[in-house]
Amino acid sequence: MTEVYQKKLFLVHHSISYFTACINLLLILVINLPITAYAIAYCSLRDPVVAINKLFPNATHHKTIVKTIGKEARDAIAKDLGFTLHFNELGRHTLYAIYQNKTVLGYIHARTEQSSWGLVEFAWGLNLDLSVNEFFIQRCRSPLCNKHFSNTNNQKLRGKSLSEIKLALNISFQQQTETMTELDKLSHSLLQSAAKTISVTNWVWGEEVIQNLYASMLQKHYPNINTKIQQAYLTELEEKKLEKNDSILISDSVTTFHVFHQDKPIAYLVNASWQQGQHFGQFTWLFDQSAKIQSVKPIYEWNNQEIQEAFNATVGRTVFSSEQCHNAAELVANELYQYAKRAVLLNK
Amino acid sequence: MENYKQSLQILEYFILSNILKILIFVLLPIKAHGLIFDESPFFDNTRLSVDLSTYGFENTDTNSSWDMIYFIGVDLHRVFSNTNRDIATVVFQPYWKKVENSNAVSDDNWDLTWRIANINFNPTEIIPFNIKVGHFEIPFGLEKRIDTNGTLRQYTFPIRNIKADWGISFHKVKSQLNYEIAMTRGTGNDYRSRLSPYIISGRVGTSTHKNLIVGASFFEGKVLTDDFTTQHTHIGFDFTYFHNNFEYLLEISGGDSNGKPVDQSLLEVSYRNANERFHHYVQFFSDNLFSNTTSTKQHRWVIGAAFNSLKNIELGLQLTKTINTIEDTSFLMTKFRWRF
Repeated sequence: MTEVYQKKLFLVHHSISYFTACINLLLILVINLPITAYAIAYCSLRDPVVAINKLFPNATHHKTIVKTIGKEARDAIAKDLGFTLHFNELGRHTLYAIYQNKTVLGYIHARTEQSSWGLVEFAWGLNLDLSVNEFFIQRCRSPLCNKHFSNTNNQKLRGKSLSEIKLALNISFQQQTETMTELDKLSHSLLQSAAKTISVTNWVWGEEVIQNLYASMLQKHYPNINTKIQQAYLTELEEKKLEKNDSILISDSVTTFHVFHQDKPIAYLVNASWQQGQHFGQFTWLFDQSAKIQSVKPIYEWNNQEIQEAFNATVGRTVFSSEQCHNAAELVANELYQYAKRAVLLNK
Repeated sequence: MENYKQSLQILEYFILSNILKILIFVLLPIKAHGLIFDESPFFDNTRLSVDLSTYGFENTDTNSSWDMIYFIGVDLHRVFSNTNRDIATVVFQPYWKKVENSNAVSDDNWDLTWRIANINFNPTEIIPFNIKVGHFEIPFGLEKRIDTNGTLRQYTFPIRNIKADWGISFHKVKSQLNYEIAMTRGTGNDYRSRLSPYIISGRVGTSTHKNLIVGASFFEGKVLTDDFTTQHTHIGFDFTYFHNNFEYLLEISGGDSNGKPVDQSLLEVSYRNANERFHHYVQFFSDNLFSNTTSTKQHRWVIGAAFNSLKNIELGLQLTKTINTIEDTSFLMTKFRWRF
């Protein structure tokens, strides 16, 4: 009788303990309902060193930058691509900035796609302007992911920008049929992964990417000296004064920097967004102290050949007064130089 | 000096006895709502998770009541960098464990148990390999590559009496090969040492991104277990092969434990569905323990399944059937884990 009673007591005791533990966990679940599900293993690089060695063989070291991919980024990517990240792909993620001594060579970011034989992890090597350098298959359990697949697609994708990948992806979407082979599906996943990687890097790590673009631009034009940049701010009133009605510039996007070498001012760096009709973009200009245009680079890519040619034609020339300008590109150069000069003057 | 020691003991007691309250009432809501996690520079390059889990064990032969283990743990991963390079990565996983079993009614004690807690320094121009210091998994066999912390699915560490240890290791990942050599205290979870234990272990393996991975390991040392030590010398080979949704694992090791020859082999076949939320596995272990006159054989079959939900909830179920020359036993194990 006692033995049975004791056994029952044990069972009751353990049932209560288990029940209490479950209730506790449930309570915490309820209390913490608005949780972003932080995917731990999704899109991570277990061995970044292998990917770095493969994608940037000249790399000497790397820097990890962990950021949160949240709902805002997910929405922005949906607008950008027409499809977006799965909720599993949100959370804390890592971008690796790859260095050769003091020079940034590019970035590595891994993204995961689902396939019928499990998850496929692509590690993407991106150039500084976020075009594709090369990809590396970190994990794929199908024999289809062989050397031939990697080599062929690396040749196709090398140097491609987001708009070129989106174009290829649109064609791939249109070709989607029920008779798609596994290899077709894998190629489609690869394009999707490339587009997502570039878009995510742009939205989430944009600040770091732009800073590295500035550094690379300065290093190219002043290769043997150490430069330092300092932001120069304009008041809203000053911005309004400089704003022109027919300008293609988005005035509140203009960011100006003064470039120094050993405390001596040597150049102006100006970053701005622009829009002309359906075309829009973001670019960075480098002017020297004597108003000579040293460089104009798009942030990420030129999305129109004609615009690209017009802006590139200004390089090496001196900024004219607005009356002497022949085209929109020269007008923009003039405007931005005025912004930079004014901002620097006000911040002295 | 005595006062100093006493103060330290009081502080240690205070932290340990209040850590759960701190975790539940402060850290969990902060972490869950992301109040400071994403914004604060203090959390730059940091991944922080809280892990709550419950494990149940039942000996199905005796029909005894369930033994329960509860864990509350923190999983912190942080990369320290300077302006343009990573210097070191810290992994810090203290867990508090409470056991309730059929032999002893719970005494409400939560014991500190260490999973991984180390700092891993990146290579530099002068030192061309990583240096890891702290508490980490012994680099031997399949355990080196597959994270089995907090999972029902385990490999061959019981034969060596140790899974993770305090010490230092040197390791490097190359494009085709990786290696790790470790010198550790032989004390396991507890840092404090007695009876002079030690372990020297290492593994060299092919690259983990390939679908065929091969590794060779060694283990030599004296492992502290409660109030005695056991001497171990082992050499092992491990193989992993992936094909579509299937993973095939094989580990073969041989050597001696306390002067007696011993060998062990493990074969595992597992299947993951397309989104890898379901994982089903079958393991077969074969242990042979030899003495001058006899040999003891033990076979173990393990069948299990794990499910990982979108909200980082993991469920596990595993049945273990041990067949040996003395008595056969079967265990049913369950797991519920929630990470956020």
